[in-house]
Amino acid sequence: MSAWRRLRGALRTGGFLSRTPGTRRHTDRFGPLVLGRTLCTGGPLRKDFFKDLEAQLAAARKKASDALPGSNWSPFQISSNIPPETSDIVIVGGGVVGWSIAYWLKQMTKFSKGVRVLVVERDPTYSQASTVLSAGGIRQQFSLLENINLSLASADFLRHVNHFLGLVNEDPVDLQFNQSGYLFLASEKVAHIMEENHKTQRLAGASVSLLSPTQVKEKFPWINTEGVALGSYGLENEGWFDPWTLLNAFRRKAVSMGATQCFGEVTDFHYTSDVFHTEDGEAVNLRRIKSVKVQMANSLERQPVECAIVVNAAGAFSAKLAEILGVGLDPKESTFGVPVPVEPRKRYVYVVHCPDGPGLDTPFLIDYSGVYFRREGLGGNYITGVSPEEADEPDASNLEVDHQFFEDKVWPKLANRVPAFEKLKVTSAWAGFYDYNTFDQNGIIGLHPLVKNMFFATGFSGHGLQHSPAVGRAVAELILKGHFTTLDLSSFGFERILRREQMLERNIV
Amino acid sequence: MCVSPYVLQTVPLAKCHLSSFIHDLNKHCLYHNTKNYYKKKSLSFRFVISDFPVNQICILDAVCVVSLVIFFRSVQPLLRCCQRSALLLVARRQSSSSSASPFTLLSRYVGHSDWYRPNRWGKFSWDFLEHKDTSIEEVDMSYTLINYRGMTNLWTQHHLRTLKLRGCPEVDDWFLAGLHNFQDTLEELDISHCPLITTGGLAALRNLTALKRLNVSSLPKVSSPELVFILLEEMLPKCQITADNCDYSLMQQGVGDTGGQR
Repeated sequence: MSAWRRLRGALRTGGFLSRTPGTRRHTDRFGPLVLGRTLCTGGPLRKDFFKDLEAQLAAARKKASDALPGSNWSPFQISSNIPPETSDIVIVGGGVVGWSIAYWLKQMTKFSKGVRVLVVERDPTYSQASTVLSAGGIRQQFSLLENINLSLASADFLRHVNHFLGLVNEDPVDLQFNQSGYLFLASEKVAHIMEENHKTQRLAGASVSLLSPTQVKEKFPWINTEGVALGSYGLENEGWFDPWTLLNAFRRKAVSMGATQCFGEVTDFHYTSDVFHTEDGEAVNLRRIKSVKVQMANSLERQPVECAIVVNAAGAFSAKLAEILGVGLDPKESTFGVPVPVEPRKRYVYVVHCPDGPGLDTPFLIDYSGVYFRREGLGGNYITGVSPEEADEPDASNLEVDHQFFEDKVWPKLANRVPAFEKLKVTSAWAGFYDYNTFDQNGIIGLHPLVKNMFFATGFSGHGLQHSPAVGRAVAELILKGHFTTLDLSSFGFERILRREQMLERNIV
Repeated sequence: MCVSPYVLQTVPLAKCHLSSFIHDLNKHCLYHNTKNYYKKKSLSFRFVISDFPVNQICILDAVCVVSLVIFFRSVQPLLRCCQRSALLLVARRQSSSSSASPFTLLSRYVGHSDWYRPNRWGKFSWDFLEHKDTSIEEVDMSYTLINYRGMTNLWTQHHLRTLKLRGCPEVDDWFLAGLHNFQDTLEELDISHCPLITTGGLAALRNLTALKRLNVSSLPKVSSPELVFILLEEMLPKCQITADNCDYSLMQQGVGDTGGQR
């Protein structure tokens, strides 16, 4: 087989000398000035016709001998990127949450026997992944204590990101973190909620300050404070960064510690079911996943991966994955009938250019009407968007951008809040999915009660990226130790969905 | 090569005895490390005493923080707190009755303002312990390895006015965000020659409302220093910003008068 490749390579480039191993070794070691040859500073690409010819004849001879019976050449090649046949833990979804879990799993088993971790990602280009399309902000201004603690822990992680994710021979991780805060503006109606949230945030240890409208105007003279009753401003550990860098940092570090990556789609599960009967006589179906079938991209190859634990970190598509197991398909069943309440919701992000806009101290401003914007770079560019009302949710089957949405829903509110934005130009836009938890807009972390070995880490509804380091650690603790150790996220379990107890987050953007 | 843990000792209020303080310091092996440490770096302190007679001195209620660190050469990336750094500077005594802000005393006093530093044999005098109740006013930690976690010890100093962090290799953007604890009092900040500071970190300086002098010369990771200089001037209008590596001719041609002294 290698004969074919070498021949193809030779025909393509023509310059053959650089490709044969013998001469390459020479030049690598001694540079253009090679001992034992004539003093030639022209580089290794000398075209020597007879040497080329010899090599080509040798390749042709090898090709002929391969074609004869008795050789081990076969036209069917197994692609080199299929996943292994067994793996202890399979993480479905290669976004920032999935890779964070993989990293923490390897990190926490560094000095013990170690677990085999496989991360399966459907799209190698990450074209629809929520991670890379995110605005990349991190804030502590939540209403739930668990969310605040998750953000604080993640900020601590990002502060020391090179300590955690740095590799010895590689460049340090540069997240391009902008240390500006978030500024939430509240109207009269919701000001009391903001005050309560502020108390919770201060109790948890977040550095957030409340500002009156005059103080807001003083700090940020370019804001129009009409209708604003209260402002909440983050002083520290808030800002925005590059999500792709974080994803790659997690991936690079996890792979260096032994996690395996595979680009394929999980199409099927092989599971066993045990039927138990409850006291009321109801039949309960307990399932255990035995193996995961991974379908390679653009190919008919499938590889069943035997695994002990599956982690569903598929983001916006987690519900579809769980449906393969039967979760949510049978409405008559009381427990299995409850689907994973995560669905993809499309959100638009518009890049605008405004030369007279606010400067370096622009916070990530979020208005009570839902519109938000933040500075992007130093050239007067800003990123803006709004979360649409429930009734106006755009169609989530594709990632096409609706520019009319900007004109109708974003610009008026934006220009009302920041008068300088009356004159702006939209330079670019993109759309991304929120893995929107329709139940209560908070993450689902934990085991499914009836699938014995499937963990969920999904449904973060727009704050998955900022919680990913802490969530990864929590899920790794859950898997390896059976319970949460550093942060108690048991209230984010799947049980709350079955019991219909909402853990509402009131500060969702 | 021994890897000793760092030592951070916070001296509580006036109630602690000098002897117990020294005893604690002994326990943390101060002496045999001081020699190594002070040879390498000269510390400087600024100590301001107001010239009041003894019977008018009041008891202060500020905290003096002393941080001693022990140099270790470990390559392993432990979460280092504050290696090889420490200097602090002690501040001032407030006058007993005046309701005027303590800072105006500086202009009135005629007392000595000495910096506490080790002498040329590396010997550090213990006189600063007499003033362990006073709050620190100026800190010069240039060329030390101070980082965010070490800085957290200084957050109790509510009268800190000057912070010099020239050439500190571990001062990064997160460190600058942590300076929000001094937002009302910090007047002078020198972060020149710090290799890890980027534009994102300079955005964190917006919280320092009292800042009067800022030195941002030679920050290698800031990509366009002239543009950042202009943006900083817009962000901090009351502050005089120094940036020695900027090409001022560019600015003067394009921008007209951007104010400030250069």
